[in-house]
Amino acid sequence: MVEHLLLAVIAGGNVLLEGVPGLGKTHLVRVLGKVLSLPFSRIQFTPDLMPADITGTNILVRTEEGNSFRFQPGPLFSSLVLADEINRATPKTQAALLEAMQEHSVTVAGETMRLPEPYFVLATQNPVEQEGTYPLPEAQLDRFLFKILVPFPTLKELDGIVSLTLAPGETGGKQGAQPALTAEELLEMRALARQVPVASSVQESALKLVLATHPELPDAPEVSRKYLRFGASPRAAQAILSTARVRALEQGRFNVSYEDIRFVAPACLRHRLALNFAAVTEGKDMEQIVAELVDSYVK
Amino acid sequence: MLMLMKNEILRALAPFRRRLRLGRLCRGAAWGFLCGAAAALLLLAVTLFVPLRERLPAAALAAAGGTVLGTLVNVLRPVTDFSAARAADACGLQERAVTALELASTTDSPLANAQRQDAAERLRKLSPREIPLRVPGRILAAGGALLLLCVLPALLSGPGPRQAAARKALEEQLASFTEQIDRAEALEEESLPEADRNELRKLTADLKRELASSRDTVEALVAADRAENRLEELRQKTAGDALDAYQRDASGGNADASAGSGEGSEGKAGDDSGKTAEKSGGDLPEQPAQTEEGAEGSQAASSESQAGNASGASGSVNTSEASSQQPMNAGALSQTLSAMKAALSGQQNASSGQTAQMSGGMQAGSMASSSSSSSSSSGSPGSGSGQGGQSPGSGAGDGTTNQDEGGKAGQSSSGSSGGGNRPPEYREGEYETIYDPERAEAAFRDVMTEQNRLGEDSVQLEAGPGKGTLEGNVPYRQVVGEYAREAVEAADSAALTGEQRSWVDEYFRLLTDLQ
Repeated sequence: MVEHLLLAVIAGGNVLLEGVPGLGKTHLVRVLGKVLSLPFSRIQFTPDLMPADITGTNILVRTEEGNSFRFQPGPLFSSLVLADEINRATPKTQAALLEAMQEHSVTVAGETMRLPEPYFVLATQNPVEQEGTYPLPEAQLDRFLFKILVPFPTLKELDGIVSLTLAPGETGGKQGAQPALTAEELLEMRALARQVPVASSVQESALKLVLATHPELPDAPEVSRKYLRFGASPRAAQAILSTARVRALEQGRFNVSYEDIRFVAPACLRHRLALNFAAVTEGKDMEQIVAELVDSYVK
Repeated sequence: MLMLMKNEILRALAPFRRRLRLGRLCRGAAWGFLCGAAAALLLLAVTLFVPLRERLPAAALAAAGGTVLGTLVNVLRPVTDFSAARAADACGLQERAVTALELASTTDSPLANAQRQDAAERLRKLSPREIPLRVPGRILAAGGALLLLCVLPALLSGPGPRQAAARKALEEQLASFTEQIDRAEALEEESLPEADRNELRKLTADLKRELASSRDTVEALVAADRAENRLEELRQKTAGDALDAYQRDASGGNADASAGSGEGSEGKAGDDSGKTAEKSGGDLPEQPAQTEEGAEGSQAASSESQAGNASGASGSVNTSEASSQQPMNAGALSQTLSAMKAALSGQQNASSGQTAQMSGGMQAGSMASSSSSSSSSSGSPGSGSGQGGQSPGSGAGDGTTNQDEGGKAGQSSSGSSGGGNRPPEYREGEYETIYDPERAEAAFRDVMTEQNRLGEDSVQLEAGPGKGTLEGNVPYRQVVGEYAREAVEAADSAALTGEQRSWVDEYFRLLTDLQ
């Protein structure tokens, strides 16, 4: 999970974290902000949250010259934004996040304001308690580079969590994290990752994988035609290759390999595909389908 | 810089290319071995029913050839740099080699250069032996199993191998006959004038060619029979020419010729022979029965088998005298042909279960004349010769008998003294022509021809098969019917063609008509 998160951050993409409450998603993002020396803000999405609450609004202020409007930036104006339980907000509020995630800018009262670079939105959502929530639209889901599933910890992991967080003198764990990168270094890493070469055969396999997710295409495999309602957009191909480059550097290589594609593809695809009724009735899991496609098209 | 990097990458990939080629060689050999073994098994199975000489060497060649061909085809396919790079990447390089090769000539950036250097270093550290040869063990096992299965059809003896063996034996036999024909030809030539030697050579050449192309004993028999007929025609022609020459020389009223012609006329009175004595007997170049093979059977210089028809026909003392001066090698080719026919007929009879009687009846003359090479049913070698010994011409027509009873025609012209009361002398090869009903028509025609040619009422000699004197010390009348009946029965039960059966029928019909 942490590796995927770092890959996405260096690649310059947004991440959707999905897991039950209490797994440390918010803590993770806070620590990430500290390590990357990036300003961090947290937005707790609720059904009554308005778009202006997150983007900011003009407020009336009294100055020496008189009353005037001044823009008060919202929590979006931060380098690292944690959108907690994003699926609880109304679609109107969710849509307000779209421009920030994609364009790294916010438009308020006709005025567009740039967001600071690097800029990341890490959203979380609860896979349970879907009642009264607003599932993210496909358009918004497509803007997340990765969807990372946060699994429930194992016994050993749980023991570590408890030991770490309940130790005497423990105040939350934030003191252990030290800054490791600056924003400028992060941007340099991002630029370097873009230069990592990809062999044509490797790139072709990634592209074929994305095409295979479309059931309407003539060459679509059986699993896609049978269980998928629609496939991934070209953003998925961009996400796969950009994150694979970062991983290659992380592994000490100067080129992308099939292994990198296999590593990042599931996180890039699972939130961009939609299961049809047949998959639901047969109990097919998205992970199974994505794994089958990756095994078929990425050697 | 780019070129240097590219060359470095290519040098690093060279050992991997060699390794791939070795793997292809092994796989090609395995697949070729499988295909060759399958081809060998198929060949052996098919040749159980289709004759093929040297089937085992051919199967071995198919197996070996398949292996070699499979090896060559795979080895000669080029091994590209990219295939070598892919093979190296599969050993844990994680697409370093392929990426470096793609970037080798295109990208010149710090990161690309770093990637190429990293790839070259990794390639040098990687051993080519890590690339598996991927020899298909199952394919080799399958090929071995097929090869073992080849033992079964190799050991079986089906109709194909038997036919092939028979064919081979026939070819060897025919080759032996060809050698004998060559020797006989050389001897025969001595008895022929120069003009006829070319004809003889052509005859033997055609015969050898037909024998070489014969596929079975029947075809060889037909070729031998055809050659025999041609040889007889040649002798007749030679005898005719000799007779003409003699007559021209003795045109001043030769008393001997008259006397002989008178006797010959008497002899002819009761018979309708088909051949002229001069042609076949008297002045013919003597072709004694003494050949290389038949020396023990020949008693005197008698007319040759073709002349056997007319060996007693002329009745002319002069012809007899002339005949006694003929070269001793005449008839060698006929004897050889007879022996060959006897051998082939016996072979055919043995394979088809014919009776020995039929073989003896058909080959009486050849039995008498040949004593070698004949593996045929020499079941009645004695009968023919016995008959011939006693009265070689008895029943055979005028002139075939050697008996000289006052005024009797049919004196055997060759070999015998031509007169007196000396017993008939057996002449090898004589009976073959005597008892050959096929030539009955020809003999009559020859007589007609001779008369017309002379154009005057002079010596008219008749000779032919089946028209000889029936008196004598041979109970011809008593046995001919029985012989004819048995011969026809044997012909019906034998594996003869329709034409051959008709020969038998015609022959014995002519013989019985003499009674």
